[in-house]
Formats: sequence, C-alpha cells, structure tokens
Amino acid sequence: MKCTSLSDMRSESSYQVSVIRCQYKASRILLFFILLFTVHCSLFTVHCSAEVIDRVVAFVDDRAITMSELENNYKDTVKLMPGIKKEEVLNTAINRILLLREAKKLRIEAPAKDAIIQEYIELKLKTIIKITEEDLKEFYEKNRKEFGNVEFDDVRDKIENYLIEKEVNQRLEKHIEELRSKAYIKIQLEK
Amino acid sequence: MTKDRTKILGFRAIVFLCICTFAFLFCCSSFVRASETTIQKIDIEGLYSIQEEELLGLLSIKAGDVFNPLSVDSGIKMAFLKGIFEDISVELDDDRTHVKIIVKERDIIRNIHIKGNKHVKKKALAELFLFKEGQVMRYDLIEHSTRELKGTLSGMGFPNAGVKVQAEKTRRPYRINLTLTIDEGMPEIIKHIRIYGPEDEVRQIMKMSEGDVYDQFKLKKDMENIRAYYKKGNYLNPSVGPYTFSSGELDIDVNPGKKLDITFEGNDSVSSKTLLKETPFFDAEDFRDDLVEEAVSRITSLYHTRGYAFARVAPVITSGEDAFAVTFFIFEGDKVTVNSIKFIGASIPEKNLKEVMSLKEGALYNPDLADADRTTLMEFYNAMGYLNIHMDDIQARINDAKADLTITIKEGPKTYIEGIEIKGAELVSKEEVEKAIRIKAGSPYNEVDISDARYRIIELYAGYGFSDAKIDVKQEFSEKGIRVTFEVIEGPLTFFGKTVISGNEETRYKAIKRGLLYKEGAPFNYTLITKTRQRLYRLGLFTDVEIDAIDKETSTRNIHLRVKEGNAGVVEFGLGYGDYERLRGSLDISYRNLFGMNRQASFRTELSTLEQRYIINYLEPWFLDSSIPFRMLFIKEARTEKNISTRETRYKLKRNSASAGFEKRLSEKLKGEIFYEFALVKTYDVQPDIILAKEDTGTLTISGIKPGIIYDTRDNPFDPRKGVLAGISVKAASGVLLSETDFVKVIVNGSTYKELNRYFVFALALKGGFAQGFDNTRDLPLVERFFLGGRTTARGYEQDTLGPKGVNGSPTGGNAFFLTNLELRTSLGETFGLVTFVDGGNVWRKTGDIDLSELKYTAGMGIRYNTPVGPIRVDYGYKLDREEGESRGEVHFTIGHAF
Repeated sequence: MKCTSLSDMRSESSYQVSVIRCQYKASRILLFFILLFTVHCSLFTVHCSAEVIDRVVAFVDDRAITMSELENNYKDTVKLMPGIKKEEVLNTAINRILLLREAKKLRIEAPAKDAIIQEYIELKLKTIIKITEEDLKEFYEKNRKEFGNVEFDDVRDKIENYLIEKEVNQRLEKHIEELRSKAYIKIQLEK
Repeated sequence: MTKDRTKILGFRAIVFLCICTFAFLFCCSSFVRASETTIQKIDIEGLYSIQEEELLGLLSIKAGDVFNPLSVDSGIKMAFLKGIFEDISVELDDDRTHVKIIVKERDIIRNIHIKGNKHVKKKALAELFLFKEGQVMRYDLIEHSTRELKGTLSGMGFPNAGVKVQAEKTRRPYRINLTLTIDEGMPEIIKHIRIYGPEDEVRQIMKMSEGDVYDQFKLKKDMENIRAYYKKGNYLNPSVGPYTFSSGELDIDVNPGKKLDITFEGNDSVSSKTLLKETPFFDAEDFRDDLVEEAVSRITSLYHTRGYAFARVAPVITSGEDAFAVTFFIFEGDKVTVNSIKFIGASIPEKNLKEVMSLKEGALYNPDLADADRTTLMEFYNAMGYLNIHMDDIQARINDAKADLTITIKEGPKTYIEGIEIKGAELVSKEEVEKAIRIKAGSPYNEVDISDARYRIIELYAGYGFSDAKIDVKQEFSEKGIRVTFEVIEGPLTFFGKTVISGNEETRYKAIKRGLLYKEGAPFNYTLITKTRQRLYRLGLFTDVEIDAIDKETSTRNIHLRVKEGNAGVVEFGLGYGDYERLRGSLDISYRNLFGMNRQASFRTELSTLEQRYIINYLEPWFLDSSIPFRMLFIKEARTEKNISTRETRYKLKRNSASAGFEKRLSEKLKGEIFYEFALVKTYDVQPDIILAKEDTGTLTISGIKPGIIYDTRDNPFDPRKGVLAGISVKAASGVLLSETDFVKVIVNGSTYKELNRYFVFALALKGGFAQGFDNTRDLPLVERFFLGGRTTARGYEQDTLGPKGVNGSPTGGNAFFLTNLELRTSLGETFGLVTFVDGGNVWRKTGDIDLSELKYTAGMGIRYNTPVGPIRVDYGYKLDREEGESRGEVHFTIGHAF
C-alpha cells in the first residue's frame, strides 16, 4: 500500500487516521532498520576492530623481543621495582640478550639464564680485575671518617669486595656499550 | 481509539521484541567470542621474500585450526631468525576467525653505484665501503660508514675527501639501490723523501717516490717490504719507522740492527738448509741462550728421526758490534737400525706387542720414540685387563750400528669384569642398554672399554629423544674382579620442534625442508641433525650448512638451519688428445638449482675429429614430491668409426635419441634405475663385409626399456684404491614399443680394488654381455653389437678390432662378449704411477658360439700422471695370442683408469 501525501487527505479524521497509519508504517520501517542494525552490530561489528595479539617491540640482530614477552617481563619487574618504565625493562632485556649471546660463544652453561650471565661476568670481567693493597689502603684513608675507629684489617675484605663490585659495574657498562654498538638494535615500542 | 491503542501496544511489543533480539544476539556473539573458534580467514600483508606457507608454518597459524596466541610469541621469534624481518604483527578480529599478519621486511641492498671518484678506483672503494651488495641495509650505520670511508681516504692521501650515501627504492619491495658519491678533493703529494739509515738500499726497495700521493697504506706496505728485505739478509730484528709527514716532507727511520750468521759443520747427511729450519732465531727475532738450546735440541731430534741415535750438536758463538755468528758443530755418528726387540716377562704374544710399537725391527732407531712406545705398551696392557702392569724403561744395546731393544715387564694379575649392572633404565629397555654396552662379564677390565660403553648408552638414549640423559659409572672391586654399574638418569624426553631456515636466497624453502631427516614432533636426536647436514651438503647447492638446536624452553627443541649458497652454475671446458679420435674438446654448461628447487639441467658438447655429440640433461630430484629422481636425456650425435692404423672408414652413424627414467638410491651403496630410450639411428658408408642384417644400413628406430642396478663401494670413483663396483644392465627393444628391431641385451660387470699397501693397488675386473634377437631380428644392428679392443678393454688391440671379422678383415662385432682385466697399480710419489696389466677377452657372433678357450690375452705396462679427475695415462698392450697379420701391440693415450 502506498502512503499518500498530506494534500490528498480529504477529512480531518481520515487525515488523523492516515497520520497514525503513516506513523505506524514509518515506525515499522524504522523498527525494521533498528532490528537489522542491531543484528548487524551484534554479528558483524567485530569486523570493525582488531586486536594486536603480538608484535615485535625491539630486536637485537635476528633475535626479536615480542610485545607479550615485554609485558610479562614488565609485570614481573614492576612487582620488585614499582615505578620502573617499560623502556627500562626493554633495555635490560636487550642487554641480557647481548650478554647471553656472548656467554654462548664461550660455551658457558648453567641451569638458569641469570646464572649464565653471572658466570659470564665472572669469567670475562671479574677475573681480570686486580685491586692492589695500595688501592685498599688509599680507599680506607680517603674514607677514614666513615670508618671511625674500625681498623683497616677489620674492613679490608669489605673494601676489597666493594671496589671489585664497583670496577665490575664500570666494566660491565662499557662492555655492554661496546656490544650494543656492534649489534643491530632497533626499538619500536610505538607502532 | 481502542484500535489505535492496540496498534500502539503492538508497536511497543515490536520494540520489546527488538530489544530482546538485540540482547539475545549480543549474548550469542559474546558466547561465540568467548568460546574457541577456528580460523577461517588469514590475510598477510607486506610479505615478499618468502612464501606465505613458510611464515604460517613458523607462526603455527593454519586455517581450520583454533588460534593459539601462545604459539605466536615463539613463532615470531623463530621467523625473526631468518634475518629478513623488521617487524611481524599478528592481529585478530574479535570473533577470532580472521587473522591478519602484517609484516615489514628489512631492506636489502641490490646495487651500489659509485660516482665522482677520479683517483681511487671503484673496485677499491667498493671494498672499503661498509655496505655491500646483497646485504641488509643498516640505515643506522650510514653516518658511521661515511665517517669510516672518509678516514680511509684521508689515509690514502685525500684528507679533504667528501663522502655522501643515498638510498633509493627500487621497483621490487624491500630492495634498494645505494649511491656512493665521492669528492676526493686535492690529494697530498710527497715532495721529498728523507731516509735516516741505509738510504740507497732502502730507496731501491721502496715503490713510493717523490711526486706520489701520500698514501699511508702503500707506505706501510713499503715499510713491511724493507723489513722483510733485511730479515731475508739475516738481520735479526730490523727496525723500520717511525715516519713523519709534514708539508710534503716524508721522513723515515731505518735501522737494520744486528746480523746473525748461522753455519753448520760436520753435517754430511742432512743439508744446512734443512738444519736452518730448525733454528728459531729469525722467528723469535732474537738471539738468546734459551733459543740456542732450543736449536740444539731440535737439530738433535731431527737426527734421531733419521736414525742417528748418537748425534751430538755443539754451538760456538761469536759476537761482534754489528753481528752475531753461531756455528753448530755436529757429530752425526752411525745410522742405527733396530736389530731386535725382546720382551722379558710378557705372556702376551710378542708379535701383538710389536705391532703397537712405533719402533720396528729392521727400521731406523729413533731413541726419542722409546718413551712413547713404553706408554703405548702400558696402555695396551691396561686395555687387556692388566691394571697393575710395571714396565722398565726400554733398554737399547747398540753394536755396529744395530740396536737390540729389551723390554722388561711385570704383568701382575689380570683383572676381569665380574658383572655388569644397569640401574635407572626405565623408558629404554635394559636389553637394549645391555646391547649398547657390548661388554660381557668375564671380559678383561679396562677403562677405555667402559668409557666407550658409556658413550654408546648416551648415544642410544639420544636416539630416543633423551638428549639430557646422564650415565654415571661406578666400580666395585672384589676378589673376583670388578663389578661395573651403569647408573642411568634418563632425564626428560625431548622432541623436535619447528625448523627455521635462513640464508637461502635462491633455494626455495620446500627444496630444503624435504631434505630434513626428522619431522616436527619426532624424538629429538643429534645423529639425525648430523645426517641432515651431510644430506644437504650433498645437494651441491651450499658451501656451508650449520644446524643449531635452539635452547630448550619446553619439551621441544626448535632448529635453526643456516645455509650459505654456492654458485649453482658451472661452465667447464676441456681439450684433450686420444690415440683413436686424436684432438677432442668439450664444453659443459650446467645449472643445478632451477626454480630454486635443486632441479638440474646441463648442456654438453663433445667434439672430436671423429665425433660430434650434443647432450641435454635434465634431472628432477623429487619426482611428484617423492624422493625418486627423474632424468631426461636428449642426445644428438654424429660418429665416424675408423680403422685406427689405415684411417679407413668402417661406417658412419647419426643418432638422435631421447630417454627418460627414474633413478633410485636403494641404499648408500646400491642404486637402481629404469629408463625408456627412443633412438633414430642412421648408419651409412658401411664397409660391405660388416653388414650382417638389413638394419645395418639406413635409418632405424630403436625403442626400448633399460633397467639396471649398480653396487658401488669404491672410495674414490676417479682413482679407486679399495671397494667394489658391480652392476647388471638390461636393454629390451621390441616392436611393441615401436622399435624396428627386437632384442634383449644384458651386460654384467664387476670390478674390485684392493689396497695392498701405500704404494700398490690390485684391481680386477670381469665383464660379460650377451644379446639375443627375436621375432625378425637375428643379428643385432651394428650400433647395438658388442665390440672389444682399445684403451678400456683389451689394450693389445686397436679400437673395436678384437672378435669376428668380415671377409675384408673389418670387425663385425657380435652378440656376446667376455672381458677380464687385471692391474697392479704402483704409485711413484704423489703425481706419477706405474701400471702393469693383463687383459683377456673376445667377442662371439652368437651366444651359442661362446668358447672361453678362445679368449685373447694381452699384457702390458703404462704410466699414470695423476690429476683431480683421474690419471692421464699412456699404456702399451702386447698381444699374447697374436695371429698372422696382426700388429705386436698397441699404444693408448687417454685420461682415466681403464676400469
């Protein structure tokens, strides 16, 4: 049935009925479209958006660091170090990859990756550090006030450990810098 | 109004229905999303260098499978090992049925264009430039590369050089061209060279001169040459440099230092040149007391190895301001040989003990070997279960240059294995472990056997996928012997994971993958990895194949297979001379990686004064994806058969043939093949007395099947020293196959090679063949008949002249033959060899005529000159059964062994 225009209506009542009928018809059509739309939205809106399951956030030569790997690392790290940034966690992961790769070249094996890195640092950096007796005494003298009445012999081992650790950290920093300069590293946190 | 109200109510009902439908569908869609849905659609964007199949395999994404996000992380990491990716992003629509993979590959440098250079050659610049064609482009290193190149150019005398690098995209995705623009600027020129030292001598050695560009690399090379010159002149430690360059003035300091003269006195049997090599002074660039002692010791040892057991060396040193001089006075003494070796207290047969010793009766006596021999004998005794063996030093009594050696032994009790126990073997049966151990209770105890057994158990477990299996060995001593316990800690079972292949640019993934001897999910086994590596090498496509098992994260071990591709195309040509065909040449063009699938095609041309042959060869190594090689051959040839001495033509032949068939390696040593051959043969200008059948002239179609089997254990096919080569080949031609002639032909051959010692190899070959025509064919057509005589058969005869002859004396060939060859191959050094041989054989017209008493024998000698493709040889064969009118023998000149 065709809906006529308002000018074709001859009487008031018939006009009102026609208006209601037209409104009703229009509503039915509208409802049909709403229904169609809801069905469409329910079933097909999923095509409008896509979820990134995983991607590469950084790579070290041919070793990729994936988004999921970084997220897991970040979750674990933030529990221990609240406030740490994702970029920092990513950089640590890159450094670990570089050190593990070097350790593999030296055929260092251990049950855990941390142990492998530790052993590599021990072998590559720590064993060549030599702290002389003069160095220890010099440190003791320079920081005499801090030690108070404690004799040199009583703190000698502690000073030695402290100086070795300090030297290891300095060398490790340099070593990582050198390894990073030789590798092809790209960070692409933002897509 | 009621009607309107009803309508309004109806309207409300429809709205309610809509809301309900919406809610229902929403719930449904949520449920659909929450449950596991199979992948229906996969889209990949940006992938260029590899096939989608390979990437999806690594990511474990497959249409029809349930999407597993956990495998994506490891899949991306695996794919990245290919070294071609910059990013791989995996996206999933909310309904988890549509996977989208967006890939970004790394840019590869296709071409490098160098421009602007005037002085430095393009080739040199290309070598100095950090980036190379075919490599991944590192945009982060552009600045570093220009800085480095500028520095090098500065060192080459162009301090103001400018370097610019520009990258340009090509039509192919991820492929770029680089333009390297060089502006060398004004070079630094050497105006004057000043030498502080022996100027005239130095200037003669130097290649650089005034007016040249100040190239520090060339200067350093000159300085190295100057140093080498003085070292050659017996200067111990010449000093060249430092040098300075300022305003065109080049100053170089040269100080030759002290000279060392070394002389030898009394060395009658060893030359001074040989002895000089034993002095360490020039290598050490010093002259010290400890180096003099080392020289004395090395010279003495050298004399000992030559049997001069009493050799003594005394150095006398004189020292001047500019030079040292050392004279080594040598007392050589007698050359001693080992007369006898005697054992006291040995229950083991002396012969066995002597076999393991380096010192041998009748050989030169080297006193330095006595200690090593004592250790070897002790180890030998230990291996036999004598753990408490005591042995005195080897005593040598030397009289009249003859040494009598005495070895006194206290063997002690022999220790036996009382029993063997296996603990911890659960997943692999004890029986199998026992089998791997091989040692039985009651065997003599020795550590080497135990260690070998332990290794074999580890191997056994590795074969079943227990790559972390550990074996502890414990020994318990008792009166009866030693009880050995092998304690097995099996460890977790490991499986093969995914394999990522990198480095293959031309070769397709599929061509490599089908060569893997393991499957994903199979028990992990290192032996299979090693065998896969060897198999891939044998494809002839790679110069390097590395297979790494990636660190184990779960129960699977992924594999990274790296290959380096070699040149798949080869062009070879050769020129040669043979006694029969005289001058001959060949050209071979081959390519062994068509379409990146290891398909091989070659074209070969062989031309000589008597023959023109063109061969097209095609090999599909995996026919219809099965490991059966399929080969096709097209041959076009024109040949003239001549009498070698009169050069008279016996017949001429034109043959066009096509054959196709399968080859299959049934085992490492056994190969089977079956071919179909279709040939059009035209025989003309035939000597009338050779014609035996109508097929001997005119054009003939021969169509047949050729099955064959070959057994080959030879160590080197070009120059075998041991092994066997045997085979049977059959050819059946029939009218059923559109052949105009019908026959069956069988050839059986076998040859064996035995290395008698370093210098002698014995080789024996037997070969026989018979053919039978059927239907209308009685005698085989000329081209299919057997002929003997010539360089690879019976060498006392000319090519093809042994056997039945026509009325004019031309050889007709026959339907049966038998041939035997016997050779003694003697090597005279590395390049030359001498061969003596006996050949015997004959050809009979029909198989029924075979009579082995009619065999004709020839004997002879030959010289060999070894080359990588076999020896070049000259043989002379002498007829032992010469008939009237025949020559005494024949000379043959060719390449390769006779058999």
